[in-house]
Amino acid sequence: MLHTHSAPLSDQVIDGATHPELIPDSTAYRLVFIVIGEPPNPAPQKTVLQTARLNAAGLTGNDAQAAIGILATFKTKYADLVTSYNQAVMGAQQAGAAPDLPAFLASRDALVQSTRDALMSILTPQGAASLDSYVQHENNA
Amino acid sequence: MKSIAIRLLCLQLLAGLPGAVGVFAQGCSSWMTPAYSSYSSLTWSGTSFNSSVLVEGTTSGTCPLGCSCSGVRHYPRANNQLGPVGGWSTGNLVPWNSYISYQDDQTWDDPVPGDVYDFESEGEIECTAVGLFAMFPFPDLDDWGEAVTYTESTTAGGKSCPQANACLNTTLPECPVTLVIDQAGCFPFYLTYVPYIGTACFWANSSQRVSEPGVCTTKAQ
Repeated sequence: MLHTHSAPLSDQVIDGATHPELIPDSTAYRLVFIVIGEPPNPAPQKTVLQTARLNAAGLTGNDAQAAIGILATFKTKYADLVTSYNQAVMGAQQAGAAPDLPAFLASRDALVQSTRDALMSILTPQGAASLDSYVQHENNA
Repeated sequence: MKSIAIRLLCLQLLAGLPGAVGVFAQGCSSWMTPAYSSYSSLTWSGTSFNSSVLVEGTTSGTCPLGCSCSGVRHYPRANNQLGPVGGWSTGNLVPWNSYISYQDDQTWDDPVPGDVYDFESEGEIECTAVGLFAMFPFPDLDDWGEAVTYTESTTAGGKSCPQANACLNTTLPECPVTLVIDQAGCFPFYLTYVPYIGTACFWANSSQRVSEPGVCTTKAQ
């Protein structure tokens, strides 16, 4: 049964490597932020890994340090947002109602945008350009 | 509503068009509209290769009258096979309209120099009502590891040692070492392991003095 779903499902998937123009920047940034970001005070091995990912995104030195703080805030708020929404889903299900998905998605995308704005305001022009280039590359590599 | 998949290398988005689920789901499950994204990456940290597979998103829809939908659950799965480590992992079962954000990380810090490794990644959402609900199979990345490079110093003395290829098999490594800093001055020959992912070479993992040239490896063997 699982395999019979492969073909129609694949038809519905937009591959960033093939059609990067169809993937919204907000989605690309969100996924990259989730993977690069670490919660505050990560374990030493997580710090090493995060540094490598930041370096891969072209962020080093002060740019990397600034990004670590902003992405830690993002990571915490994002986890809280998802947890709150899923609690609302449980509550709505018990009440026979529907959760407010549009409001959640709006909050999610607003968090991504505010994180982008915070990064762009604090990174050097070179760092900001490197991060944007990295996200675009991830999108279509 | 659309879904996506990205990767490191890639990003993908699943286009959960309204009614799309009806193509592969019947009756009381055709009302669900999936919207998921997936992302896969492979990086070098300076001491290890690290990979991540992320799958996230949710499902929307209105349960039709007469259908019992409260028991329908979704759960994420990720395939993150980084050389000899990792594989498939599974997240928690949650109500069908929960927001799922599932990430699997793997680390491989002991590559055998000269060996070429494979990275397989895929994200999935499974549904207890209809089975495989969303899938993001990424192309395999079967070109990463540590290349073996032999170099010869062409200048005696000093701490910056210009290097020339010293491969006995005359193969020019695709990750050549162009400079070796040796605290005790330049040494005639060096053996160096250079991590690479695809076409990207990273800083040499280590260089060690050797007494003679040797057999080099290229990235893709």
